[in-house]
Amino acid sequence: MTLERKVRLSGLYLFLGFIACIFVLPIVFMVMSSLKPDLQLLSDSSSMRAFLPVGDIGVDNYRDAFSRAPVGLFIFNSVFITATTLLLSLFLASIAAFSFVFIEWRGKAVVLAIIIATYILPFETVAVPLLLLVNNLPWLSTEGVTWGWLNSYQVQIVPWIIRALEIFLFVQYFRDLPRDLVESARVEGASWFQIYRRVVMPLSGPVIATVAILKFLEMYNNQFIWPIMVVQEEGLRPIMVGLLYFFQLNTAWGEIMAYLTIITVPVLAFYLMLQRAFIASIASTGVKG
Amino acid sequence: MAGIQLSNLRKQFGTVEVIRGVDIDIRDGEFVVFVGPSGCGKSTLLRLIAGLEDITSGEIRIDGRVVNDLEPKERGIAMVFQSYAIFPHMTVRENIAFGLTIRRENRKAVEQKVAEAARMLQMENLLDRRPSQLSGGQRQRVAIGRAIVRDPSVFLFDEPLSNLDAALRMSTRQEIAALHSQLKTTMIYVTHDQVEAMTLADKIVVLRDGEVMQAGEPMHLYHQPANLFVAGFLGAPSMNFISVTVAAVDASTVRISAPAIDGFAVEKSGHGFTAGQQATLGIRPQQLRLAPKGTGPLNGRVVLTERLGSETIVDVRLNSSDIIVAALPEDTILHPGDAVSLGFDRAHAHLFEETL
Ligand SMILES: Nc1ncnc2c1ncn2[C@@H]1O[C@H](COP(=O)(O)OP(=O)(O)OP(=O)(O)O)[C@@H](O)[C@H]1O
Ligand SMILES: [Mg+2]
Repeated sequence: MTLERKVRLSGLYLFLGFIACIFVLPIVFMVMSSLKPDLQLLSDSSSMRAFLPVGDIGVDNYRDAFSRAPVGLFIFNSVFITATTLLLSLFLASIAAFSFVFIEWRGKAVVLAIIIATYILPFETVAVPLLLLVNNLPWLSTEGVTWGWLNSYQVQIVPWIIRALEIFLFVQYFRDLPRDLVESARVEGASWFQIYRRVVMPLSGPVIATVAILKFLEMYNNQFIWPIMVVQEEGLRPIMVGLLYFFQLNTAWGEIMAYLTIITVPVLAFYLMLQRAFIASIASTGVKG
Repeated sequence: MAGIQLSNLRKQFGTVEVIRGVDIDIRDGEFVVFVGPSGCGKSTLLRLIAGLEDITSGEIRIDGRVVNDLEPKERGIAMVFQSYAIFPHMTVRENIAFGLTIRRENRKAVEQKVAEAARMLQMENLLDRRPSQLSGGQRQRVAIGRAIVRDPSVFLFDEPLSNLDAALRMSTRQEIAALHSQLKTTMIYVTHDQVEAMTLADKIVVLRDGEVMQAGEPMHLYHQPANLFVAGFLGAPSMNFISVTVAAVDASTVRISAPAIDGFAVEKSGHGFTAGQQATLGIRPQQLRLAPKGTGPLNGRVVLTERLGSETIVDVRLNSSDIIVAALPEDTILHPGDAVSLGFDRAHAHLFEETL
């Protein structure tokens, strides 16, 4: 390696390290602050001490956070809602896209165009009609048929399962798959579902990872207005609504940081799980350009 | 095994008709080659037979049964694609076994059939590889293996050799011919390469713009082309065409004249020709001979010679300024600018009613 190349590389790494710091520092700040009493937290925040575990360090904030709100329950709710939505979304969006791309049926271009068009509607415009709708839908459970979905898990799951974006991403990806593969599977005798399961999905890792990540972020981090509208029961609330518990009367910054640290753990676990697929997906979309 | 009948088959994409009333009769066990220039509808015709496209009108029968509305898997066919279309996420073994496992065949039987196909195609040692670890020719053989294990009644090949290099193309062509003589299954093979068509086919179907120009045994098409298109398409170098005028007609000969040539008679039955009409004379380059100076009907100067080893291809500009190509013996020594006289056996000249 020549000197010039060494210098260039170190420059590059320095730059990348700087970028990484910009992303990591807020998390460091969050974790460190969660260990400090409110007063020290506020005074430290004006210096580099904000990023260091110094002064009066302890886990009091965590204890207080757990006693103020049913943190475990909120996390369970969010994880459950997110996981269910994610799996249903991956399945339904991909199978819908499969039909749009590989199966001939009358009017599919129009239907796809309508679906894609719905993407421009912001959630706020449909929130109220959606509320009226879910309030009148039937549900079948062990108690028989009940009407109205308010205060339930399904009201937080079903409306979010599919949005145009997921279908669109799968459609785009499937269109780039070689058609011959699907056709030769047909000639070989595979049913549409067998083609979906044994040929198309095994080749769709990058788009599955992409959709999974987008859906995870949407469901785990961003469910706030809708749950407030449709869920009054504390036992069904997700994490973001739980955050409100810490803003009553005087804001408990230390506890908020502790709460945020706890609810970040599932995000990290999810990322680690998907990391390889995520990088592959970024790389492949990069190549496709 | 099965014969195939196509009757008045038509296919439209939107308003464009790409298959325009095709009738073809394929006997059980026959090796049929569809040949024609790019875009003439060969692949479309094959895909109609496979059931990958719906037909617009007409009828397809396989083994006597109308299959118009049947799914590909119900037609008893196997297909080898130009791109091979083997599954990149499966091993060679899984690829070959795909059709069998889909049908949930007994595992023992599947293993045995895969082993048999692998032996036949000499790829036993490749079974656990992934397609990305194979060469083009090996991928091709995986695709063929996947087709033969299912023991279909008809094989369809869409330009299976076009992605291979010249040497591999020749050896794979021979393997496919051997495969046919071994399996004796009906095969339909699409190509735009007339050499593949001539060497492989029991029957050639020449297509142009979605219509059958002529169908028949290779040598029949070569010796008795029904029209200018077939005459020009089969054989290399292409047949020479010269515009002529019919001067006189009698029972067995037609006397013709043209600026390029001295008037003479060709032995063609006079039916269909009338004196005074325009026609086209066709002569294969291989039929042309050097004649002593000034004695042949065709006189001109050499513009280009290509020595191929087995023969020498000579382009001659006739005095009428038409260019004519002659395939002469390999020891012919000619240089650009040399004056030559060419003659030919009149029994082997072709006379077409069409004009250029
Ligand atoms: N799905 C389609 N939609 C519209 N037009 C099509 C479609 N498929 C084929 N065509 C048209 O039909 C004609 C015949 O195409 P086809 O692929 O059968 O040609 P081919 O003889 O196989 O040519 P090549 O030798 O290049 O493979 C072409 O003009 C093509 O543009
Ligand atoms: Mg083609």
